[in-house]
Amino acid sequence: MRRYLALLFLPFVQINTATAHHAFAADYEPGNEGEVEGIITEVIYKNPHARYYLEVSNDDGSKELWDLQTMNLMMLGRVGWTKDTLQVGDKIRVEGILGRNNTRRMSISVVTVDDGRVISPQRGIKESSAELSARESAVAAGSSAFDSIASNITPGSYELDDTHAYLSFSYSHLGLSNPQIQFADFEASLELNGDDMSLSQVRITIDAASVDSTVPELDDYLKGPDFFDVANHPEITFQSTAYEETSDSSGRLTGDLSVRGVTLPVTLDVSINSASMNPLNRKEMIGFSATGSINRSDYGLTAYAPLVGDELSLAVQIEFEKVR
Amino acid sequence: MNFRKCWNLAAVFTLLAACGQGEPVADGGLLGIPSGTYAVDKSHTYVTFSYFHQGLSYPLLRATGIDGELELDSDALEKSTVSIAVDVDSIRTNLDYFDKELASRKFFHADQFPHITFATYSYTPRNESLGELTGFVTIRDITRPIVLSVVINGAMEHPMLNIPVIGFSATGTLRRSDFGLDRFVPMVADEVEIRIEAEFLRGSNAGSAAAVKISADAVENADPASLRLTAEIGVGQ
Repeated sequence: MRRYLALLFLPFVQINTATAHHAFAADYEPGNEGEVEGIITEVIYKNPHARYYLEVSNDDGSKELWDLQTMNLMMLGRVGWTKDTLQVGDKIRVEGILGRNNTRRMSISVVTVDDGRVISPQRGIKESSAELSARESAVAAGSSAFDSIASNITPGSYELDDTHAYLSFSYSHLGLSNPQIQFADFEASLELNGDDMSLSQVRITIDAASVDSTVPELDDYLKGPDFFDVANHPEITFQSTAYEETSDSSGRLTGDLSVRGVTLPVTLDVSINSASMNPLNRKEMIGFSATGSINRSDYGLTAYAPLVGDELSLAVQIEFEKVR
Repeated sequence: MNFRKCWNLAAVFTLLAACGQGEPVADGGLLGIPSGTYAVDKSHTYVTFSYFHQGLSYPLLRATGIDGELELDSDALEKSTVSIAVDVDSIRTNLDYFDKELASRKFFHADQFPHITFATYSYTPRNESLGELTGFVTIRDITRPIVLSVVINGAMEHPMLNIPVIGFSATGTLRRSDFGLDRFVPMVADEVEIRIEAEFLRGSNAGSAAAVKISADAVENADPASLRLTAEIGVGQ
């Protein structure tokens, strides 16, 4: 039964990764999924993320405390998840994305309560897994009953709103902190295919010399021959090659990332935050959050790894406006 | 490479190989470092602000001018306190005009209120690495309580600098309208997520002492109602 349920929930796991926002990759390890079971000892229904402390009993009788987080209250409210949905004393089984550094944290994908309810931050509350299964089948058959961002999306060519776009990366510095580095200058374009979202295309071109750590000496190092070597490799580029929808507002974007002469595929978890008309200039806008990670050593950027983390967490916050 | 050069670079990027000293510390248990005063490592500390912009994206703003001091009680973490002061005119949006607007009278009014400060009310450890830090944020002379979720990432003898160091991440949310910063709400979200990525080194410096004084003054001058509110919030209710 457990295995069957796990398969059923698999799509949710991907969705949750995709809809988490900018800070997600710093705290959690996308792709590293797990499951814990225990009793809720504390409910903290506050922004930025509702949190639940879970007491988990190990096989050897020892107990450990887990910190479970989910989305902000506004997002939860949309699916009917309130402060009363999960309460102290509830026995739950949770699947989700595990925290970095074995911190016994988890970002919730699906909660199964021992009273039969199955709860997801994306899909809301279902009374039983059987009902959820029926709903899943309905979704698979194309009769989604959920709110649709897709209906607001206008296909066409989009250009970057460069006043509302942030490209960041972070890494673990000596296991102590996660510096937040950005690129100041970049260009991006988007072709949204109205018939088939999976055929949409994104291209981002970054001025490598615009790397900005807020620490001038570090910027000099990052631009220098031992790191990005901007004199010989002035651009960092991303060209999408495939987009796989995991819901009408999320998906997995795969593309070729070129850094310092090395081109490798990378997959980003994308959340389409919304599509709407800007009331000021009446332009169609679409906004995305995307996260992913790379191992910098794959691109030859090996300096001081692993003491300075090899893994770079990537975070994209980007708005586009339609040009035609 | 001479020692001084090595030291300078170490402040921004660890040069273990070049300096031939220091070992990775796999388990940065808190108990591995002594109690006492720690000052923010300005080259390895980030304070960021994020909010939902018109439902489309979450801009990530960073402050570059940060001072802070930690009074660590490594035997009783709950007795530890941290004070942080952020120069508001150091907040970087990646847009010059936006930087200026934030510093202007329309927003932070940096000339009159140059700092955002945080002062600790209490710290409630959940285990050796997780906890909740309750304190006061002061912006434009208005002080409000905030609860930050803390992850202590590591604590150890700094492999390069050979002094104790502790690193943590802390996140929390405030409502900017509570501080009179309500322009464009709700098109631009009222809620702002704060993230602190910090390293603190054993010792103190003039900057960090200033941060402590600024924070203490802010709390002393705080609206008594907000102090009561914080007492009522406690932690985790």
